Amino acid sequence: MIEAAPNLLEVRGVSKTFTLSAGLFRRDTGVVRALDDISFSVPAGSTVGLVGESGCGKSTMGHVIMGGLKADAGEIVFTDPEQGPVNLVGAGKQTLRHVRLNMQMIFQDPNASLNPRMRLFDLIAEPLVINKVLSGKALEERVVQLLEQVGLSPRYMFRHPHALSGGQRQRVVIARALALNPQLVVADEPISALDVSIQAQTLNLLKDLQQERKLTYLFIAHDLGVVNHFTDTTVVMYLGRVMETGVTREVFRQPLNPYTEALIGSVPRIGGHKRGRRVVSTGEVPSAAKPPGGCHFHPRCPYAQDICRKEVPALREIRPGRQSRCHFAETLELHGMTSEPASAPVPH
Amino acid sequence: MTELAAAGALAPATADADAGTAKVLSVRQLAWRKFRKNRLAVFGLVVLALMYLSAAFAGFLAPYGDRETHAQFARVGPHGLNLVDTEGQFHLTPFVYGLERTMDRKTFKQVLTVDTEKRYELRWLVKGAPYTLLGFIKSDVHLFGVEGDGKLFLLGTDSKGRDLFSRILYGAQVSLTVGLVGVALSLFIGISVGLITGYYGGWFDEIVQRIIEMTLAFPQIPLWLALAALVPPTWNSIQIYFAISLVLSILSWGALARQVRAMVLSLKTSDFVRAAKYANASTGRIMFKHLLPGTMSHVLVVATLTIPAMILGETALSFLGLGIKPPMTSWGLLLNEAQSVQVILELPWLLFPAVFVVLTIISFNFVGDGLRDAADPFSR
Amino acid sequence: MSVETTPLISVEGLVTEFRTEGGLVRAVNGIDFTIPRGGTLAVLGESGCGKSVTGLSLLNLIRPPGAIAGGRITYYGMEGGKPVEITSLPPTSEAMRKLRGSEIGMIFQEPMTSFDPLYTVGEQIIETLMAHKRGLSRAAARAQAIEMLAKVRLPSPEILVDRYPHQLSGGMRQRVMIAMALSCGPKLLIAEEPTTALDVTTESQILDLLQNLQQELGMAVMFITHDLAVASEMADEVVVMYLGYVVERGPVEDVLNNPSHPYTQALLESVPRLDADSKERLRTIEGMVPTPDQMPRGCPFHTRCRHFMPGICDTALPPLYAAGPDHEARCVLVAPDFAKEPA
Repeated sequence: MIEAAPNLLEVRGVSKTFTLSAGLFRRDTGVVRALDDISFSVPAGSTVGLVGESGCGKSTMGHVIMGGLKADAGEIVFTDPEQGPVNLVGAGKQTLRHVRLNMQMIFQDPNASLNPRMRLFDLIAEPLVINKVLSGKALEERVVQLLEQVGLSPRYMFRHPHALSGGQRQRVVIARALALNPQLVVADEPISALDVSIQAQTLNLLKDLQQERKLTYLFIAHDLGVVNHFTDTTVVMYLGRVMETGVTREVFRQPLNPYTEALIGSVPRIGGHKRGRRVVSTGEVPSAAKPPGGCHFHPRCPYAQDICRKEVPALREIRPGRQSRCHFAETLELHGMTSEPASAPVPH
Repeated sequence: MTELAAAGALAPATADADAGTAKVLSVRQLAWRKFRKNRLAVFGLVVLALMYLSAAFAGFLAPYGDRETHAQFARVGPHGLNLVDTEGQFHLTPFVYGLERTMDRKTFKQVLTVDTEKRYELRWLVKGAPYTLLGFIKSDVHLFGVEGDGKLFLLGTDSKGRDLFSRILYGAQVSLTVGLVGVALSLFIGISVGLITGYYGGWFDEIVQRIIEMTLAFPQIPLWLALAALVPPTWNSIQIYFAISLVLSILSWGALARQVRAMVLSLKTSDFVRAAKYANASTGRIMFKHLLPGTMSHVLVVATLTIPAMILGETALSFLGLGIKPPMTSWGLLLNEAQSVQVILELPWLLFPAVFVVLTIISFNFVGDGLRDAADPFSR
Repeated sequence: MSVETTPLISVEGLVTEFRTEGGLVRAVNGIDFTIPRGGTLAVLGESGCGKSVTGLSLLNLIRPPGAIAGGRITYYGMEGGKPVEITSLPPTSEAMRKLRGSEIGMIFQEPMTSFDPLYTVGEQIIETLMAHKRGLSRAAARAQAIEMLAKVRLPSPEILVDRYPHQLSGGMRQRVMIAMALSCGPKLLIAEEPTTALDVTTESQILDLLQNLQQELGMAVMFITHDLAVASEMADEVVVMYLGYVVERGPVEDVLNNPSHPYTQALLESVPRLDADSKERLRTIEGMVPTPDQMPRGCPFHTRCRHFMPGICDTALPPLYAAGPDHEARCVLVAPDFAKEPA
């Protein structure tokens, strides 16, 4: 599946370091390796999930791809439909401007990503106006069409975002992101700020739009259930490193990294069973400014050996299409979702 | 798609349902609603509106011209209008008694006696000293006055026999607007500097911040004095007026620039600015479409709270004789006459301009307070 | 799991109202439930359903413009077994203050807001202890505070006791808050979204901790959550709320495996599962939760219900019908005589 499809986006060995400074004279007090040698690829037309807990660097990755943050090293190759493959790291302003016509982002909190002083029309039309794609009557028609596509009534067009509910606002964000007809949409936690019943509506909308417009999604999320439902392949991140990649279903059924196992094991489930004791990792995610040496996960890993404390494991291909960053990926017997039978409730 | 269609079918119903409620109020309406809830702010707004209107129509409202002297009636205390005469008889139109100046034979002091024999009735729209209204309407009709030889000094007269009430109205023209001009100037400088330093940061920002810190650390009054002393004495009143506003704004733009900078710093990392960048928005567009409007409500509050400081500044400078110079007049200049204890003891009514200063400043603060609430109409 | 013991707290017909610009809003509209000693109840619902207000009502913490406008909350856990009617106590009374903390504790979603940033966590626990236990010396209180921190499985409690809240991670703060809530040995703990702000692995640890502590201390827990999975794993019984009404309630396994109310059904189907293989579209609940000033007539859920029957659902509020043993749902579809009529 991954091999066959041509990759719309390829991230190769990307690193990003933030320097912390403090005090009167802005002395550098430390560095945070927000992204440490990240590599993954996003095949055209598919949905790739970027999963991890807070501080793992998944959002940073999204902004680096969009050009809002500059990578220190590595390559980000985007296959532009007109220009062919372009490396976004170190690309000039003009190139970035052009590529962004094909690449847009959906943010987590619709309250923060919509300028409260602008009307829906101006918000959705802004990308089209800036890039001089449409104007006048054609612009208005396009905005109406976009509003309808995301399931909003065009009569909301001249309202301000505050007159809408959270779910409706997120639809506006989606309409705006789609205004330029992008190929790739980076969706950064697009549903986590929404109510349960609105989350499903939004996910369905994203899925419908993907089918209609052949969109490719890079889906950044922390909710494993959502990732399992929504993505084709998954990239699991921990403290700036990729821990595991593979086809979503396989990753969740048979994880090849103890961190993935810990994540899956931690998710509360609806099953009619009272909580039982589980193998979950101990401790909390360490600060990204002071990550543990060797494998970042070793202090919390139940399988940690001496080598884990000393040597950083490489991200290796363990099976075709499956990569893991663990010294013992081949030998460990890790538990995924299959260890507990799915018991879906049957509504009467 | 079926469920999307269902959502569409449902949408009109929900839209209609909330069309009738308060939810679709515009941002401005919401802000106004919040402002109105603050009773003191509304009071302040009304007072200020009255003040500015009276200043604009000072010529018409004042019974006398600002330079009109009544030599025999210098140092007259306030005397009001009467409706009932000494015999207890009620009169429909208000009237004043005649005034007569006599010398006290024992103390040799000038004494003013009220001549109850002479009654002068209040008249509407009487002709008097000529004036120019709003800079272009020439007229000599005054809203009210008294007939014949009668004099109406609502708040008394000064040592030269000029009607204080009229002069306060004329003085308001300077005192109330010098702050506006000064604030407009410091808004312009403050917003520009704040936007640029906040957005670009770097060494330019560092330098500007140090300069602002220096201006803020300076004791205000001495600096004002020094600057005002630089104003050439040969300048005419209009030039002096603008020179004073410039002096006032030199020290206040810094605080505003800092506030704008702080807001820009937080706004520029907000998601909606990022979203605009990812849509290829130019720097100019981000600054003027996204950052500037975001700071405006706050700037409005700060500006409203800065005006009173400037009014006080003008008052202080003029009081010390370094601000507005005669023949122009301002509240500070009027108070200048009440500098010695002796004068205050003899002519306490010369302190009336201070009452107007206090009322104005309190009103501005009330309005600023109300605007602060209204600036964020989405919070509860 | 049998929980048929004496009730610890019972809520009957609770109505909590808020005076707003748009008029009187009923956040909680006549709800009933009981929590047995040592039992766990989950109050489940989306934002605006009244679940938080219910929690605050139990502690008599509703502040103006809100007020408890009707119903009765009775607490049976006092020593000597004398029932206390919480709703009849003034919110600021001495008796109510004693009840809070020493009988009923509460923890919140964001621990940071319930700490004073200027004091160490130890000082705050000591403060709580000394306020509730008369004659306790400072040294003894400190020893108890350290003991409590150890009880919530915090490493090196004797060091952590002198730390300030901001020096702790999110998970540690939540543990400290639990320690503080449990320091006076309450018999009921109200936990409002205690894990929503936490990472998955930390959430799991906190849920484990709460469950272990509950068994250890034999206290009852009222879980206020929007997360079906958390409710499923933690509760014995569940109350599903929508727009201030209880729409369904019963034993957690019954309600979540065999939901009777269309809202509960839809909610369950709309959550993407980790254990589901299907990549199909999720079933959704269309529209959005009406704002409280647009309270629908009849069944509160009828505007979004898949089985909406005009003339029936939008006329009268259905009562809670029995849907199984101890299992009730507020829907005419569950009514025993309804099956006879054509749907």
